[in-house]
Amino acid sequence: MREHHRAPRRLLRWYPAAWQARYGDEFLKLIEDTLQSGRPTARFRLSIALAGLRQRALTSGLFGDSGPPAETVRTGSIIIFCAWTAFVFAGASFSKLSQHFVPTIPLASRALPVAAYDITAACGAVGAGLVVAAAIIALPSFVRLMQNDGWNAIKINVFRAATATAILAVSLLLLSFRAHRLSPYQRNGGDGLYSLAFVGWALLFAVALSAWARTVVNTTRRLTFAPRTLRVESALAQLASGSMAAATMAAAAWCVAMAVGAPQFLYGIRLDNAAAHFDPRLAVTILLMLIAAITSSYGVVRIRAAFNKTGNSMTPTTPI
Amino acid sequence: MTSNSSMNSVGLKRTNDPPLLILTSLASGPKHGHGLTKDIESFAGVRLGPGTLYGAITRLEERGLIIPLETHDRRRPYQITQLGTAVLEQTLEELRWLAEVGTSRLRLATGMGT
Repeated sequence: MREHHRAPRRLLRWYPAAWQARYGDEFLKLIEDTLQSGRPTARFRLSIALAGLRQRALTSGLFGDSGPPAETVRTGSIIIFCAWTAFVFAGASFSKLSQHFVPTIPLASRALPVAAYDITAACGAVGAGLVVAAAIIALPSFVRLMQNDGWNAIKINVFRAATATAILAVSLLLLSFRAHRLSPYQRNGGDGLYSLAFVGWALLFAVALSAWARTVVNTTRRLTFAPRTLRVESALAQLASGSMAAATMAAAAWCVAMAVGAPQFLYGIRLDNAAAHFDPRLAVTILLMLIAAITSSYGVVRIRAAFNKTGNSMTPTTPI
Repeated sequence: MTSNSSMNSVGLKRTNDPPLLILTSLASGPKHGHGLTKDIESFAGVRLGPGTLYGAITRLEERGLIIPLETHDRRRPYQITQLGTAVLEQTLEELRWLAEVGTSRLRLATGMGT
């Protein structure tokens, strides 16, 4: 019976805290009136959950124009950061898949793929530098958050991310230990168990990266930024988005140049001289880069829209 | 009801924009959430779920088209504002104009076809 009464209240969890404070009680009463002592069906729960998530998205400025402009700018920057996290994963994959490509190209055709690769790497480094700069600028706000009991709000995220990283580090050690006992052929697809373990490690890398990204997002949403700091942070985010777009174009150019200059590299002729086959991993990697670049462009659009709406009268962000 | 079903069967739906339905309902006086749901169902044949209803109420209140009144037994009635009335009048006028254009063109097309 007690469980029965708690059910409508639990549905409120989908809504942002500020919305709950303003509308929560009357909304619960409406749910009770609608259900008339009955239990909420799965469809009913789903409709409330979707409405709550939509409200969260609107409040945070993910879409629509009803949220405060400062929140829209912050959300736009967070979108770019999330896209950058996916880009890091794609970049690591690109780096692994393009290993030792130079000797496979005839000398006369080397200039273009090497330049494209160098531009990709440089853009990646610039993007990383911009993210680090944004983190340094956010440091005073972060310290203020910690001084105001913010640790309790993010500690579970930090523990999860740290645990995932520790598991990642241990598995990397085991993988390296195993790799040293294998021949180059076995390390490059010749040993099924090692290949499977490497895929597992890559997934673990993605999990750890996502866990840290979630920690950063949850922390950033709780930070209070002065308008000037927010403007600088959003400018860095937009530059990072630009670097992602440039890196994606350069990586695509590298693929085209390799397809022309050294197609055997893209088709992955195996060291055991087995039949050549198209390796889809590179295509998936470029696709992920493209998705990240497009997603970050949406963040830029949100930031620009918020600044166009308010001009210079941006208010400070408040924790959401 | 019958006309609504026949329109839905060919992919056309009646005007069921939640904010418009809420403003239309509040035009006859303040109502709380459950009252709004029942009234809208009675005149429009549309049953708005709590999530949809309060999503629209939130947007209407943010834009100053409705205002909350005193709560009674955890039920909070809402009242349409002057701005809300003006917006409703303008929207209905646009719909009336659209209906007139559609009707006259339909008559013309039917007349030409026969």
